Amino acid sequence: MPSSDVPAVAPGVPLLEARKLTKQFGGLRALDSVDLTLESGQIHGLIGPNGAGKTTFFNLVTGMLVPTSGEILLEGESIVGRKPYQVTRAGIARTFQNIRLFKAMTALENVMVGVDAGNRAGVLEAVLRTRRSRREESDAGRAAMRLLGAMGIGALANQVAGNLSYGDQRRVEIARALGTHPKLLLLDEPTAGMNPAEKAALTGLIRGVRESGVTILLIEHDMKFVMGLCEVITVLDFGQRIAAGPPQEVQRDPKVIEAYLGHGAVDEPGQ
Amino acid sequence: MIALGYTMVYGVLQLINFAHSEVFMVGTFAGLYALKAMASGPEGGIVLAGVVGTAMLAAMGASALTALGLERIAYRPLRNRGAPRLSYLISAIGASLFLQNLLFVLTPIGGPAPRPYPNVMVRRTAFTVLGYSVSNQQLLIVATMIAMYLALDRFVMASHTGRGIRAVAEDPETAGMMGVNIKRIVVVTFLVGGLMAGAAGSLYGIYFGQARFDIGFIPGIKAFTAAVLGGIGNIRGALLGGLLLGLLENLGVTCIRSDWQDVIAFLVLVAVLMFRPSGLLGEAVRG
Repeated sequence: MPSSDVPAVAPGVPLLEARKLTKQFGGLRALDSVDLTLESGQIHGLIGPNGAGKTTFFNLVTGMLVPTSGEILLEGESIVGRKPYQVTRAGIARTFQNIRLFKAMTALENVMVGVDAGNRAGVLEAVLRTRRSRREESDAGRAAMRLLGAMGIGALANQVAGNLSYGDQRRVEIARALGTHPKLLLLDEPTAGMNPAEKAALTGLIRGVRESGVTILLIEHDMKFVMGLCEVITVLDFGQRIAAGPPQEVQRDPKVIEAYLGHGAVDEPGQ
Repeated sequence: MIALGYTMVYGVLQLINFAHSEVFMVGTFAGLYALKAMASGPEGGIVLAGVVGTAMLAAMGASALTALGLERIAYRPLRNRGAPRLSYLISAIGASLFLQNLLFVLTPIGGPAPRPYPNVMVRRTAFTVLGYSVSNQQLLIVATMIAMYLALDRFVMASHTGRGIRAVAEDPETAGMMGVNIKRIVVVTFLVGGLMAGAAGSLYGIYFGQARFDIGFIPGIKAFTAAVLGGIGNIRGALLGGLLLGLLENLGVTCIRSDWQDVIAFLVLVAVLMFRPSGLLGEAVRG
């Protein structure tokens, strides 16, 4: 394990375990009996061609969709059937392939929505501005500000999210997800639409997030990015897991080359 | 103030709560009986403030309970089943008719005839501006409205529940995934809408001196007009719409004749729907 300072929850119990996870949409089997084990502290890549079931996997883990069959265990405990907000409060946060910020709110407010997940002051307290509600409010603001600072966009805190550049919006999304204090962060194509410099910066950011004790599972199409960042990779194709292991191994797997990189890729080994 | 209730519920659920005018109506009755229990004749000074304040709180409580009941009985079962939008509308109209007729049939409380408000707050001129006299009642209404609007604005803009409300209004699915408990947000929205309608109901009762089973209809539709005029789903828009609508009505009354007041309100509604369905401060229709 690369970062030994990450506290292990219970030895031997993986952070996240999907067992024979299956999702059927009418006649289409979007995910077919997929197993995936995520150890605490890993940066894990989930790759595969379009339509392989990667985002469906994310949607199942976060409670947006209910699996047709199979189990999802978070620290050994089943989270199947829980509502999305309950899954979030249990420690799983995510970002979206097509950015889904609250566009009418400021960057800071977006992140505060994530931070709020842990707040308890009720409606009456908020209206009456009790000491607890005021303290939670200022704590949430500070926590959100810290996260934006860590993402390198502290200066944009009061900008309306919808007006930010694409790359900055992605960073706000990551900050918002981190605001919920996740144990596991799911990133859905974090580099989509980014230029090479932004991608390089994102690699550093994601490593930093991992160092702070958050396990990461990411969907990505940029092979260079995935191979450089991830310690373990799972490959899906047509809803089935066709390979899993360290990047070098997966890269050489003929099934992966066939399914994912296409036939031409065999002719150009190593770059 | 009633417009705020429409606009908030619409913002969160994309639902026009047509039973909202009955939430208001319940408020006028609750205010009436609270006032009756405390005083029968004119009061002054501290006693008056206490009596009116308590009546307003009672009305707010009763309306909030009604709104919560509506959410629980008329809307939540539909939401849990993912019913189409039309079902909500029908359910809303049904609930509205039910509440109206309930007060109609319950003769000890309501009945077909209007119930007079005790004349606790005698109307008199508080001050005169530019030749127009402002009564003490109007002063009370305006002051309450401003106070409630400011409280609401602060609640929505600067509290975590308010942020949750805005987040759910914009994108419920994402909000859920960021740890927002949507069911709770919906309940809070109905609660706040009910509180506002209750306060408005008791003030309306004091001003017009009566409560009746169908008293919510006209104010309800006007509030809806105000909400649409300002841009439905937009809280500041509801306030602006209310002010503008009042202004237009009074202009019309001055320029044409006083019985044209309601005609003008509905003309405004039709005109807004035809020429600017998103309202003055509303966003373009999402597509």
